[in-house]
Amino acid sequence: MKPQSFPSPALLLIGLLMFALPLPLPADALSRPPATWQDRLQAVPETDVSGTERIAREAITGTRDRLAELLQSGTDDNKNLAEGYGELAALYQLFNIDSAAALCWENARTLQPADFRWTYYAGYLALNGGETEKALELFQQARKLNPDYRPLDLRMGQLWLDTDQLDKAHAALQKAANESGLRAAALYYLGQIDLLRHDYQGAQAHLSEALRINPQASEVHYPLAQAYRQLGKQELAREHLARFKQQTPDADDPLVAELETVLQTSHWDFRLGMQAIMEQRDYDAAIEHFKKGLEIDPDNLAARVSYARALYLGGQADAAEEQLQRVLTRDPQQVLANFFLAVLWESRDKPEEAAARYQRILKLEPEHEGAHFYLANLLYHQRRFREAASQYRAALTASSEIPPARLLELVALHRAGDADRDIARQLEQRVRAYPDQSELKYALIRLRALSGDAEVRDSFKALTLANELAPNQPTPPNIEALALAAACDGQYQQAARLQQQVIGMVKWMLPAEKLQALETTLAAYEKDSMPQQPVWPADDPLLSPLPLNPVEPFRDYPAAVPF
Amino acid sequence: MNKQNTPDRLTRGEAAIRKAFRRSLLVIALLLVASALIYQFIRQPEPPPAVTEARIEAPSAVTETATAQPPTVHFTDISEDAGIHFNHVNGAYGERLMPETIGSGAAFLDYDNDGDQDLFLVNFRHWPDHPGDNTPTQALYRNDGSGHFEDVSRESGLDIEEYGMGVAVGDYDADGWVDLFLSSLKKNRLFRNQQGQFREVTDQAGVGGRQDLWSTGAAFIDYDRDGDLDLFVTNYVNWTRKSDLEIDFRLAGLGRAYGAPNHFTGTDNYLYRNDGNGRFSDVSRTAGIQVHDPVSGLPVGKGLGIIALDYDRDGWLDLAVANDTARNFLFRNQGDGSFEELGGFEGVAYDRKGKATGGMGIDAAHYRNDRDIGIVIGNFANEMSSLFVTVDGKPPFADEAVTEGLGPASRLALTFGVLFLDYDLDGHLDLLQANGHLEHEINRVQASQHYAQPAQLFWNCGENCPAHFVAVKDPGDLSRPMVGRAAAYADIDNDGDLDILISQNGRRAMLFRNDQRLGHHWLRIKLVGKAPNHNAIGARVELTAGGMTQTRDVMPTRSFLSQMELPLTFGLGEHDRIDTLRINWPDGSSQSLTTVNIDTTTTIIQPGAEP
Repeated sequence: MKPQSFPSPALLLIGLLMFALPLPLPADALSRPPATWQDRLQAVPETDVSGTERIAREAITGTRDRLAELLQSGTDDNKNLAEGYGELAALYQLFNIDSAAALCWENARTLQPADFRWTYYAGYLALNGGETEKALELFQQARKLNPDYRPLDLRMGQLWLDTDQLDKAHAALQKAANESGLRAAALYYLGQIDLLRHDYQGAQAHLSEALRINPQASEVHYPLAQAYRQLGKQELAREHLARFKQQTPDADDPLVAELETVLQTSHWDFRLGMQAIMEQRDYDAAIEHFKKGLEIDPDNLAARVSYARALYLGGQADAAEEQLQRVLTRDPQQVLANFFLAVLWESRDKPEEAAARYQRILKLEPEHEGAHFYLANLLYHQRRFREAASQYRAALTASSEIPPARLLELVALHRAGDADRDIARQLEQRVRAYPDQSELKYALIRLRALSGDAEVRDSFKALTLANELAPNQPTPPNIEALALAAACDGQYQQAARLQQQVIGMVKWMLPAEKLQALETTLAAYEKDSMPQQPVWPADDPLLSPLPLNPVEPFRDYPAAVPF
Repeated sequence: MNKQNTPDRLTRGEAAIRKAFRRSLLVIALLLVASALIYQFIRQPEPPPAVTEARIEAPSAVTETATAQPPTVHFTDISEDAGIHFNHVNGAYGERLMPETIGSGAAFLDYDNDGDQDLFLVNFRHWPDHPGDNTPTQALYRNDGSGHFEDVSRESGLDIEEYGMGVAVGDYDADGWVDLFLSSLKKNRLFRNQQGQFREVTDQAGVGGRQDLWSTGAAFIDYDRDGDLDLFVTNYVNWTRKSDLEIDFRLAGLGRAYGAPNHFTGTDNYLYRNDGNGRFSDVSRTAGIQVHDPVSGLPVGKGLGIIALDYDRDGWLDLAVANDTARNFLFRNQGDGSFEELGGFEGVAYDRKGKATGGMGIDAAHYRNDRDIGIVIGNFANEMSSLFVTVDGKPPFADEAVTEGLGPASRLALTFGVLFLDYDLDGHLDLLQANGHLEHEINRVQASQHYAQPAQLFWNCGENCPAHFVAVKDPGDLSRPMVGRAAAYADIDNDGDLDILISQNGRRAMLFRNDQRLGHHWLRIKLVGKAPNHNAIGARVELTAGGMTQTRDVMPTRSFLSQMELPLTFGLGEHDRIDTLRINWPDGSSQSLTTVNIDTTTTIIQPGAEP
């Protein structure tokens, strides 16, 4: 008898090929529930969570994995599964992935229909998403499950209000108002009902009381201002309008509180931090917010840069530098961190280090207008005028919206020795292109009045421009420029009168030597002669870069990604 | 059976082969079963079903308290039949740059002075590094008087390639031919109408603005009451491609998405005073129309829609601007060439909770036929449209969207163009909203949202209902899902009722004919004012019939980045005569008429004006 044989090579090959082919990965059991659950549970497809912060991505992925494992384990533990779906729903809801959240709540409800939480949360999601009919249906079901959950009255009140069922809204909100933890919020919405009904006294009473209970609820100021306005109390209206900010009254809703804290995220704190910097200029608050957010997400380098900004603005320059260095240790190419470090070093009188850092930024990002502009200013102060001019030019090429650079480039070229006629030609073009930028006109008036080049010196043009500038913007420099133009035109008496006007405007605030210079010029006019002064004095603040004020870039320089 | 084939006659070899074969069959079967099981376990889930652009049912008002129902009126899409073969190009190629989502506007105008309403459609263009396979241009269509249009873009000189956003129409040079201003992502452009041919005069006029400023809404108005038309332009956000890509806006659940306006800083508005001789002066800085945050110093405005109105009845045109995610502006004209911004104080800045909404389109009207004026603003998804209404005929305004039937029904939709118009000619101004989202795949993360959304038509029930506006369930082709942006109206076929144009972003423009057959009487009025404001922009007409007074303003700038026809349409319902017609001309003079034929278009010439 022939011995039993193994399968033939052909069959083996087929089998091997079947295993060797790139077969698809196992499906997520939530996207395709196991057969035992298919008829009962909704599929929850995977979604792109790249838009969320890292901690959120990890939480969502981790929760999905655990839930998938549970589903695949064949368990019939509805409670556990419901909790899993509930946790996942909360995460999705927290990060505004509403479709997925709704499916998860639905599954939790299917698994545990008697659990009030799932129906309430599903209703809350629908309410916030504007699905009022669905929200109403769910809240009514929730009411049957737990008639005593008082925050539900508040939510129903909001819902009835949003759907123009004011009597029902009123009744529900009155009930909620009897709960101390809900009173402020309920009164806020009752006040809105009053406004809709044109009951302005009622609105004033309800809203004032809401504020008394919850003074931080600055959002209440807006409808209260409207009430006062309608009552003819304009000043009170203005007062409340000035105090209005977006902060809703507190509502003691334990379930919603639990939902909002299912995951401690950093972005909320980072957002508050940015708001504190940009809108409130409250740098201490900003520092606290960023600190808190970074405890949760210490690897968020963009947030750490914003934290450094807040520290600097809050007077903690050393701490700011430390944070910036920390960022650069992790990522030496972080442009914004490099930029602020350069500014900080420059402010600490380390010009060479600062310049080198600006140059490094420009290697990383050749069109970084901030680096070009600040480097230009630094070079200018070092009297490296031609290099400064080149950097101003580069800044303008990167962005046309750096007005000081339009003039400073030409001033730097002038100081570097370029001919007046070349400067005049370019300055004329810029005056035409930017008629609202008065410093360009000021500079051109002085050039036309004082240039040593006869082809450039032109009293008519100087006077025409000065007559356009000074009456519209009668500042001391502009009046002085008009005086120069008048003198250039031979109108010395007029020039003297204007110069006296300037002296009268500024003498109380000028140091003695500057006042002396003005009086010397006046004396020249009184002798019917032109004053001996440079076209563009080196100490003229309108014709040179201002000394670095590091607060400005730390506060105002835009960050595309602040966290 | 052949005994020779019975098993006991097989050779051993054959038996072995058979046995081996049976075993191999078993192995194959087992392998197949195993493979099937493995495949079942590890196969990719089926891809989610393709998103179908299902029709959204506008939620019915939860309170069905209306005691009257809208009449049956259908609007029919006649775009193809009418010769409108315009496809808007938004330039999208995959990187999701914000300007791709906003455009574009539309204008009804009588560019050739033949008495009917022609149509101008604004177009965007491809980005320079992604040229596309066509060259999209702006489009001008000439109406033959019966509602059929011919593309005259080239012969009129308006076949211009531009990053077009909105349009304003006005005879700024008072030569009797309406001119056209095109707002753009880049430099804006002014075209002078020379008897049907348009020639660009931007630089000469001085209204190009900045190359890097994103302009949107624009309006020709006589703000200083010197008789000629000045120009107001609103700008959107401080956008660059670089910053858009750097921000890398992402929607959780979708990935890379279109950036939201709150990621960008705001911009200033422009006001250009008409100096005559074809030139304008930029008076923006001194006119009080530039609003800055007191703390940061940055501009606040992110303007889209504009409406000019005299909300305080002092005879000077004021301006309301719908800002997107910033507070709305109400610029009160102080009568001395300057404005004061009072949006917060007058109650139009925020919704009733004090939140700055995503305001897009805007319109204003006396929709209750009383002294109260309503300003409607179309807002973002999950935000009710705003309906700010004065109380007892005077400011401040209160947001009455909820109690007027508009709020709940408008909440889910993402609304751009909004318009008051009396579509059924019953004497009450109804309301139209053009809707459409920004994100193609929004439905994947928000089940209640869709990219294409039907327009919404609300019938004004008048005093018969507790809430004035009742959603029209079946307005015909208007209920088709659209990526709606501009909404504009005109009587294109001279049958007395108003037809509608809705532009779509990245899709074809849609022209809807009003097919109402209700037998209501009507009157259309064309005003001819004194030079230089021949078209009487800013005039107000009050028509009283059957004890009810309707008010209309000659103000073509309404809705979203668009212009309406100049003639005014009054529906008279069953009334077959007019009691009085009063015209308040822009120069402050007024005129009353009692004998006016109805069911016709009447031209009324201001005393002293040249016909």
